[in-house]
Amino acid sequence: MTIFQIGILAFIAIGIGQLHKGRELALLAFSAFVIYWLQPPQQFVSLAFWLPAATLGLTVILWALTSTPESLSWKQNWPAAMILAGVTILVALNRYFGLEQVYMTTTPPLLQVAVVVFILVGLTIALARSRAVRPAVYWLALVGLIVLFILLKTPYFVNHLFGFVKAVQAGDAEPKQAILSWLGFSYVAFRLIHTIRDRQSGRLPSVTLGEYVNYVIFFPAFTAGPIDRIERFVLELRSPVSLARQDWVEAGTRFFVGLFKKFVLADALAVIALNDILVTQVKSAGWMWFFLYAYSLRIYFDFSGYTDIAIGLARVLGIRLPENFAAPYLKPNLTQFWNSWHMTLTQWFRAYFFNPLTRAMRSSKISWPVPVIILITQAAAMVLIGLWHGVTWGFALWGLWHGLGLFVQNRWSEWARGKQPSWLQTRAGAMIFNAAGVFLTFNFVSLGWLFFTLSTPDLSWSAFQVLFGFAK
Amino acid sequence: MSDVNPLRVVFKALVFYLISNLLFAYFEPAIGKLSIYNWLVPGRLRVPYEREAEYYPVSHIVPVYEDMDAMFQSHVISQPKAKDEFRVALVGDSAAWAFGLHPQDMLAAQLTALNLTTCDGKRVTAYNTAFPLPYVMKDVLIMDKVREYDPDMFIWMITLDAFRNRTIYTDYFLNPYADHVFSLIDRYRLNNLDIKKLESPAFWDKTIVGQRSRIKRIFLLQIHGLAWKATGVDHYYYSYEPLSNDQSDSLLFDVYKPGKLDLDELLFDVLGAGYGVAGDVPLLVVNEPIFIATGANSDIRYDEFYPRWAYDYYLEYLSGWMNTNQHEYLDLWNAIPSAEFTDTPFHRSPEGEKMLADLLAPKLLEMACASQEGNGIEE
Repeated sequence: MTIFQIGILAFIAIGIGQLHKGRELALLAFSAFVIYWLQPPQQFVSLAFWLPAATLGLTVILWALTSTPESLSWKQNWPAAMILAGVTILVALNRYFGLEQVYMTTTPPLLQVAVVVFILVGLTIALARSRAVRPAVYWLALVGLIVLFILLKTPYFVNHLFGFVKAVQAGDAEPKQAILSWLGFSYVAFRLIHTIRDRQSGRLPSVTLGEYVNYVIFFPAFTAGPIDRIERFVLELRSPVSLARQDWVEAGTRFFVGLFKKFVLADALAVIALNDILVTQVKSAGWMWFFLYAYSLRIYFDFSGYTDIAIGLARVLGIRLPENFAAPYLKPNLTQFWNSWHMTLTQWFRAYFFNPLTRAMRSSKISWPVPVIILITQAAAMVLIGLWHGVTWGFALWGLWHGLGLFVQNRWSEWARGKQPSWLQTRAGAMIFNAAGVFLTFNFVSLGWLFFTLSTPDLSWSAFQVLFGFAK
Repeated sequence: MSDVNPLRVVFKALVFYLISNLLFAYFEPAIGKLSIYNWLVPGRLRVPYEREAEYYPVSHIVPVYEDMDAMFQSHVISQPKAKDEFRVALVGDSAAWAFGLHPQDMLAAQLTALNLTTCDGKRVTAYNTAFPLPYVMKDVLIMDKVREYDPDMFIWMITLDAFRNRTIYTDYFLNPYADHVFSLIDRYRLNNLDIKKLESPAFWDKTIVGQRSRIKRIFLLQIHGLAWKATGVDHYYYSYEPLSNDQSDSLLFDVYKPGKLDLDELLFDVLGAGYGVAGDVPLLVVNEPIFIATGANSDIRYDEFYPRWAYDYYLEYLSGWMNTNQHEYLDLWNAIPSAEFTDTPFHRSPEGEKMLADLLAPKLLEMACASQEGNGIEE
């Protein structure tokens, strides 16, 4: 997102936040518009329309699937349905308005859009009425979402599928490389999975179509999180907005601090943040560490800056988004780091993967030793968090690096419990120990970024060699 | 509860923003002079330039053509001159800038590597102050700027292509210095220069908002300096197809058809302005080497740029102009073998640069000694 786009979002957020009536529907309309507006152009040009349309379609279908009977009435849902269909058709009409410079580079013919909207409405109504198949459909939807997610996040599949289609279209014998960028899908998928799992466990509150779609595509958090929980989000959405001076000050402060982090600190650090090119050009260990630290800081300021902007914008809309960062680089161990870095993602994995897996292993017929349970659950959770960013060796290794790090730290803490020397009990000793922990944790995390940011494990290994002075 | 009134904060911020913009526009602070180069990181060996923004991270540069202060503060020439240094500034286009070459291979570095000593025992140190646009008016502006860095001699590499009027370059390179260009036009009566697109910046263009792109580029250039220090890389070394000896049968030179090249319309008056700007600093003009094809149609074209009819006419005109104005110059148009050109008929290989340095050295020393004698320095 550009600073100009963020400025527009801020002005409209302030406007919507001031509405005494119709805030939910105005927010829904604008969020739906934003996902079309921010969707980057695609090699297959019409996908710039169909991907956001698919986000909306998928969300509406999953609402129908997970909704409770009391939230299904046409009376309370027709305004939201009309708005979603209306925004989609309005965007599709852009081919007649000729506003390509403002939004969307191209749109499909209206007839196609109308047919898809019609099918979507029919499917939604059918799903909402067919109660009997639900348990199976939940699992089907869950697996379908995960498979779609894996396909989209695997460069091999995307390149080959789209390359093949492009080659067929162009009449070429050789498939071409193609990339696909579905804006916000990573976060949308996790919110949808959260609602399916909570529906299965009976924890999902009764929500209307407008509330559900607002939760999934809430524009301040659509592209970069945080991943809120629906029960908390909907509670605030239903409450009237009453912003005191303090709220404005806090919202403004978060927003401008976020802009500064993202557009000054992160963008400046991006120039010298370690990348594939620098790894091949830098020969000295000192400079390699310097550029690696620059990357560590850059990714933090970039991501936490976006989070601050999202929290600030949401605040003026009357929504308190959860925190995503809490000074992670100042934490003295890896567990605390992960409790303060991309917190909503780790909480999600803890709730829907780590805890269930741990429970399953503990209650299984096989008597797993505790260290083995810890190793498997932590490594698996962290590898999955890595793969959430993309199905590549680099992300998998990054996850494994952290999984093993958490395991080693866990075992060390267990072993060292009650064995602290007396000097550690003093204030100075504790401070030194804490500082050493911060230093070690920051460097461990920074080294992990080598797998995350460099495009191949070979490059990561080259960087390791230079960093530790054993490069040829 | 907070005592802070958000509306007052917003109002104060807006007032501060407005005042700082007005003050910036009024005082026009020379922010380009603020630089980490030559103290925190080494100065660059050539001015920052790259063809495409996608190469900036490879070359660790960002061009700041709209601020010559920043351009030259990042250059090694802005270091104080040593007492025993004879400072030679090389001006010209992409060939002089040394496109495709590593800093140690470029002409300026090759000249310095010759370890030349002038008559009074000063070491010749050559600086690459070229900017990769073939446009003589840009060279004159740069020479005028480089004079601030106390050069003892200029070497100006020219070619026919650089004498053409190009409004795109006016827009791109001259506009940020419009007022200065207007004064040069008046001083040297540069009647041929196409200035349709040249306009002085409005007051609002001088505000922080109006100058945001320049400010950002200057800031980023400083940060890129760290990567420059760490890597020594300042250019994207691209791969290229070697030049073909076979030429097309077209007789066209750019937009000019045979017999239509009116050299009086070209920017030879700017060449005169170059001598004027150099003033008492000796100026050696060099007609730079070009690739000379030997294959198909080489009887009608020297290369993809120049048909013979146009270039021969230019050679004759240049010689006549120099004689009329009593200037010495070096015509090295055919001095480098074709094999030593790389991707264009102007860009040379490291070996080509070395040959050119060897050819320039005697004339450089001759002019250096002559100027020192003229200044009353005796051997």
